[in-house]
Amino acid sequence: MAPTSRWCANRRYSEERAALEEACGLRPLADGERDPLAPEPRGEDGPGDTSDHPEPVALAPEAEEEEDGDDVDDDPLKKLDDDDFDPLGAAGGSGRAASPDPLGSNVAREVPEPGSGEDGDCRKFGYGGSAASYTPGYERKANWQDWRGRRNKLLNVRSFLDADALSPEDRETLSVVTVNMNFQVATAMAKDEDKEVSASEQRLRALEDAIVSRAGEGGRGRDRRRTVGGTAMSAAAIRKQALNDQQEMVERLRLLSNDLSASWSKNQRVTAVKIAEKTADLLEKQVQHMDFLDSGSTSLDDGLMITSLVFYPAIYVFACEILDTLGDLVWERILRKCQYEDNGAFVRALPRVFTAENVREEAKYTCRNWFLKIAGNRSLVGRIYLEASISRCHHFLIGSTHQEELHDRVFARLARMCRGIAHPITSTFARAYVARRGSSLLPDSSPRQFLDDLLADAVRTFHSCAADEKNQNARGLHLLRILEPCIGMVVEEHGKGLLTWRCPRGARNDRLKRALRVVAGSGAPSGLCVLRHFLKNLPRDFAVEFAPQLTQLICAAPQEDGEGGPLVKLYVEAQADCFAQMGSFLSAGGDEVRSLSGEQRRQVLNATWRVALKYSSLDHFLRVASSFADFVTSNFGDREVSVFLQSVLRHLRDHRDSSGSPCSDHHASLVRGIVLGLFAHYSQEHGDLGPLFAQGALVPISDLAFETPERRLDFAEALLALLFKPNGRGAGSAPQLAVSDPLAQQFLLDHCQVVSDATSGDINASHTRLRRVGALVSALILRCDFGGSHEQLLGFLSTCRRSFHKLAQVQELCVHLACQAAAKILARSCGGDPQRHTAATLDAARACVAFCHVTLPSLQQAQPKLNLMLQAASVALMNGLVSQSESLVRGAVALAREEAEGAERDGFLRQCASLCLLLPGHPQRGPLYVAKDLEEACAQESDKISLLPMVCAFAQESLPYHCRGLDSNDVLYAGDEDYHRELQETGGRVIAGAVQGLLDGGGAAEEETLLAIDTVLSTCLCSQVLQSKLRSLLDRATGGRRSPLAERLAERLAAGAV
Amino acid sequence: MALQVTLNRECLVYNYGETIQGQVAVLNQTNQAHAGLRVTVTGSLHLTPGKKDRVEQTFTLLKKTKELLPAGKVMGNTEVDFSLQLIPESGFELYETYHGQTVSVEYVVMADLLRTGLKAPLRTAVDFILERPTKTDPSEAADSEEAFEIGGIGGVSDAKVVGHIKSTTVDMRTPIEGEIEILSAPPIEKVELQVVRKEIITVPELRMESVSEAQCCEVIVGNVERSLPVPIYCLLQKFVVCPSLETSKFKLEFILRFLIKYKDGVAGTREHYHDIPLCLKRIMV
Repeated sequence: MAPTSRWCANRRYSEERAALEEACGLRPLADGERDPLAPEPRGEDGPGDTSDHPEPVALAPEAEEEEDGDDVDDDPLKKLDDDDFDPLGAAGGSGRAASPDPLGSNVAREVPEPGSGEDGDCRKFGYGGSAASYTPGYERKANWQDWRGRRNKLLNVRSFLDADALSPEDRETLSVVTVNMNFQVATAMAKDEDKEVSASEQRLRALEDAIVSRAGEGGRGRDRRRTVGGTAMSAAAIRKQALNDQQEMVERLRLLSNDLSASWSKNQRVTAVKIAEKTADLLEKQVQHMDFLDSGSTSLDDGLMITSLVFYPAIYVFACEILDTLGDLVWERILRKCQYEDNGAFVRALPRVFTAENVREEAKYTCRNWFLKIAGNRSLVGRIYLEASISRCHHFLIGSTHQEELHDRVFARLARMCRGIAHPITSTFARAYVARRGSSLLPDSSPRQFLDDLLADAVRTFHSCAADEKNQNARGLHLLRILEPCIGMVVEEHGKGLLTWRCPRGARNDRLKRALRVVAGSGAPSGLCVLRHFLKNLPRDFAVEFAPQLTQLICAAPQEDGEGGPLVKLYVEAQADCFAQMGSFLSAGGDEVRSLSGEQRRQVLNATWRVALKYSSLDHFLRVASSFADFVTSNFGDREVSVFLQSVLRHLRDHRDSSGSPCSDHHASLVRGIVLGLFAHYSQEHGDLGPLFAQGALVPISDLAFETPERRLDFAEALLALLFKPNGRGAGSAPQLAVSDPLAQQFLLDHCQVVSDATSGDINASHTRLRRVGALVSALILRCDFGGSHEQLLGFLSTCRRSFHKLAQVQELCVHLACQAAAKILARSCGGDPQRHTAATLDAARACVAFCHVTLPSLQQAQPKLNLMLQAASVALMNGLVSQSESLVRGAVALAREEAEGAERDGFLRQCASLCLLLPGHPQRGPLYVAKDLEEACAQESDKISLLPMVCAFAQESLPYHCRGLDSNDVLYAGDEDYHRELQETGGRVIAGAVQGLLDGGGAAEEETLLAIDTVLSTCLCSQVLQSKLRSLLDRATGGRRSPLAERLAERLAAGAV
Repeated sequence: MALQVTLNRECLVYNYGETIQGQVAVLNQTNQAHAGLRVTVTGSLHLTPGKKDRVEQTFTLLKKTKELLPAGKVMGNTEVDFSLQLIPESGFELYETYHGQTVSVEYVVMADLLRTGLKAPLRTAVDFILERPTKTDPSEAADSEEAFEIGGIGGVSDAKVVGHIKSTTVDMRTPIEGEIEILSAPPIEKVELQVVRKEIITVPELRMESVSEAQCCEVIVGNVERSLPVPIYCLLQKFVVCPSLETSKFKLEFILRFLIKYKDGVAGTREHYHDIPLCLKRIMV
C-alpha cells in the first residue's frame, strides 16, 4: 500500500534504520494497537482526481533541520477523520482507557485510500524546526527539547551508574541500556520484532497476572511457591524471569518508541497516545513488579530486589524519551493545524510570536481534545506524565497576559498531583519529570514558583523514606541511592531557576532561605543528602554570606559513631560532600569571604573540623580537606595550617594502619592538590617556604601519600613546575622566593633528584626534557639561600654536583656559583683586595676555586667548559691564587688545543691572552711561561693574529690594566733585560707568524685582510722594536717581488712611523 | 460511485437553532443516472432499559429532509451544498448529544442517493454534536465551595478524610477542582474520583433507574502521607456526561464519588465511598 512506502523517514535514524522501519511499518501490531473505541473510518478523502498528481512521493518533508528528528509527515493525502480523538470516537461507553491489548483486537484498519492526490496544494510547512520559537518569550530556548533533554538523560543514567552498589552484571546491563539509548543500534533483534513482541508481551502478561493473583489472595499466608500465570514457579525461576524481564522491558520500550513514531507518521494519533499511555503505565507497573517481588521477604534475597531497583532509572529514561517525543509531535501538529487544514490547504499565517487570539478555533478545539483525552486516563501516574509532556500546548489556549503565571500554575498543579502517588520511587521520578519539563518550558527569567512546592514534596518524600523503619537496611540504602539523583535533578532545576531568575537579590535570598529550611527538614540526617545537591546549585555569594549558618546546618546532623544502621554511611558521605562543597565555595570566593568577619570564618572552620576530624574514611576526610585547603591557607595563620596538616597526616596514618595498604591514586591526587596548594600559597604570598616546613607534618604527608615512584615523580614534577617555572606563577610579580630553610632545601632537592633520576634514567627522554629538568633544578639551586655561609653553599653545591651529575646545566651552574662565592668572599670580606685575605677567607676562596677545579673536568661540552675555566682562573687570580689560576689557564689551553674550533677558539684565545697578560711569571719557568704555552697552542698562523694584542700590551712600558693587589710582569720584571729580550723574541715570533699567515692566505676577503693589517700595524706601532722587526720581516719575506699586500703593509708602516 | 458528506465545521459542534451547512459530494467517474439526492438531518433519543423483556424506545427529536438534486444524471464528481436549520419537531426538545448507559441522544446528517433500477440506494451518514449552552446567571455562579468530610470509615472511628470541591455547579468545559486530604485512615490502596451518572427513565412502560460510572480517575495511589492536601483535577469527558437534565421522559443526574479502597483485609471492608451531587452546566462563552 502506498502509505507504508511513502511514510517519511524519521530523521533520527540512519538510512538502514529507515529501511528497517519501513519493513516493520507493515506488521500488524501498529494497526492492531489502535484504540478499539476509535471511530470507524467514515469520511472519504476529499475529491480530487488521481491523474493530476501521479507522484505522491514528491511530498516535501516539511520540517527543516529539526535536530531531534521527530519530523512527522502530515501527509495531506491521508485525511483520516479520526484525528485527535474525534469526538464521536469515544462514543463507545465509559471514558476509561482501553485495556492495553495490542495484539488482542486485530481489527485491521482500512485506511481509506482512494488515491486522491492533492499534493499540488501541499505547501511546505514553513516553520519546521524553529517551531519552538513561536512561543513569545521562549525564543531563546529554540531547541530545548533536543539538547537539554537528551543530555540530561544521559547524565542521569551516568549518575545512576555511579552507584557502586551495582553488581557487575547490572553494570553491564545498564551500559547496554545506555548504548541503546542513542537509538543507533538497529540490532538483529529488530528483524524479527514480531516474535519478540509477542514473547515479551506474554511474559509481561504473565507477570501482570501474577500481581493480580497476589492481590486476589488477600492477606492469606503465602507459601514459598507462587503462582505466576497459572503455573507454579519457584523463587529462583521468578528471579530469573525478573532479570529477563528487565532486558525485555528495555526492548519493549524501544519498540514502543518506534511504534510511536511509526503510527504518528501514519496519522494514527490515537495509537500514538495509547503507546505513550502504556509507557507511562510501565513506569508504574515496574514498581508494582518490584513490590510484588519484595513482598515475600523470606523466599527472595535482597539481591533481586536491588536489581530491580537499579533498573528503574533506565526504564524511566527510556520512557521520558518517548513522552518527550510525543509532546513535540503534538505541539507541531497543533501548530500546523493553526495554519493549514487537514487536507493541506493553507488557511492563514501565524505570526512568529503568537497568542491564543491568533490561534484558529479548530486548532484550539484539537488542543482541548488532547488535554481532555489525557485527563480521561484513569491512571494518575499516566496523567501526570502525559500532561507534563504536552503541557507546552497550553500556550494555544491561554491568552496573551500572564502566560508565565498560567504555565506556572499548571505545573504547580502537576507538582501537587504527584503527592497522590504514595510509592516513593514513582512519585519522585514523576516529580523529576515535571520539574524538567516545567523548567525547560518556562523562560529563564520567570520565577518558576512551582519548583518550590515540588522541591518541598520531593524532599519530604525522601525524608520519610529515609526515616521509615522498613528501609533501615541494605535495600533501603539502595532505594535512597536511587531516589537521590532524582532529588538532585529537582534541586538542580530549582537552583538553576533561581540563578537565572531576574529579581532583586533580597527576593532571591528569601526564596533560597525558604528552600533551605525545606531541604534541611527537621534536622534529620537524610537532609544532608538533599543538602549536597542544594549546595551545588547555590549561588556563591549566598553560600558565603550564610556560611556559618550553613555549616551549622551541616554539622547538626548526627555523626558517624560506629552504630546507626546502614544508612549512616550514606549520610556521612553526603555530609562530606556538603563540607567539600562549602569548602570550594569558601576557597573560591575571594572578596565575599573577606566580607565575613574573622570570627565567622573561624567558626566555620572550627565547626567543620570538629566533624571532619572524626571521619573514619580517608576518602571523605580528604575530600573535605582538599576543598578547604585554600580557605585555610588564605584566611588563617600558620597555627591553623599546622593543625590542618597534622590532621591530614593523622588520617593518612590511620588509613595506612587500618588497611595496611597505601592510599589509592585518587587520594594521592587529593593530597597532591592540598600540598601543591600550600606550596603555591607560601611561595607567592610569603616568598618563603620556612613556615611551611616548620609544621613538620608536610614531609611525612608527602612520604605517606606518594609512596610509589610514579606518584612521587608526578608530585615532584608538579611541585617544581609550580615553584620554579620561569614564566609560571612561581616567579613574576610575586616576591622572589628564597629557600633558606634547610629542611625545605633538602625536601626540594630530594624531589629534584627524583625528577632528574627519572629523566636521566630514561633513555627515551628528549633533549628538551632534559633541558627543562635542568632549568628547574637550576632554578631551585639559585633560589637556595644560605645566608652567606660559604661552607654550607659549597657543601650544597657538591651535593648538587653529585646528585645531578647527568645534568650539564646544573654542573655549569655549580661552577658559576662557586666562582661567584669566591668573588663574593673577596668583595665582602677583603674589599676586593686579595692582600687583605685572612687565613680563613683565603681558605674559603681556595676551597671555591678547588671546587671549580674538581668540577670542571667532568663537564661534557668544550665551549662552556673553556669559558668556565677562564672564569675560574680569573676569580682565582683576583683572590691572589696565582698557581691555581695558572694551572686552570694551562688546562684550558691544553683543552683548547685539542677541542676548540673556529670562532669559539678565536674568542677563547683572545680571552685567554688577556688573562695571560695579568699572570705573573713563574719563578723557575720564566715570566712568559703561560704566554708561551698559549703561543704553542696557536699552531695555525691565523690564530697568531689573536695573540697580537697581547704582544702589543706586553710591549708597553706599563701594562694597560692590572689586577688589584697583584703584581704583574711589568712590575715584577721592570728593567730586567732578559725579560725584555724574551718579550721581543716572543713578540717577534708571533708577528712573524701572523704576517706570514696573512701573506699566505692572500685569498681571504678584503675586509678581513684590512682588519688584519690594521691589527698588525697597531701592534707594531706601539714599540720601535716591533716596528723594526716587522720592517725587516717584510723585506726578507718579499725579496724580489713584493706582493701588493706586502706593499700596502710597508706603505702603511712607513706612514705610521712618520 | 460514492457519497461523501462534509460539514463546514471541522469540530462538528453545533448549537441549538443554528443552521448546519455542508456539502454532499457524489464521487463517480462516469455519468450515471439516479433517482434523486437528498439530505436528512435526524436527532434521536434512545431509551434502552437494557433488559431483554423491555423494548427499546426511540424518539425522533428532529428530522428534516431536503431534496438536493432531482432525478437525473450526475456528470463526474459533483458537489452540492446544503443547509438545514436545527429546529426540533413539535412537541420535542433538542437535548445535548449524550451517550449514556440507558439514555442516548445522537444527531446525524445523512445523504441518500436513490438509484434507478434495482440498485440499492447509497447512504452516507455523519454524526454531529449538538450543544446547548445556557446563559450564566450571575447569582447562581456565586456558588460557594463545597467542603466534605468522610469520617468513621472502614469501621475505624477516628479515620477521617476531608477535602473540598471548588463548586458543585460545574461548567462542562472547566475541570472539577478541589483538594482532598487524608487526616487519618487505615492503609489505603487508592482513592478514585468517579463521575457517576444516574439515569432515570420516567416513561411509564420503561421505568428504570440506572447508575453507572461515567469516568474515573485516580487521585491517590497507594498509602500516601497523612495530612497532605492532594489536588483534585478532573476534566469532564465529552458525551459520557452532559448538563444535568430533567425532562418528561428521563432524568439525568450526576454525582461525584470518592471511592476509597483499603489495603486488603482492613476492618472487614475494602471500599468506602462518599457522594457529592453535581450540577453540570454548559455555560455560554
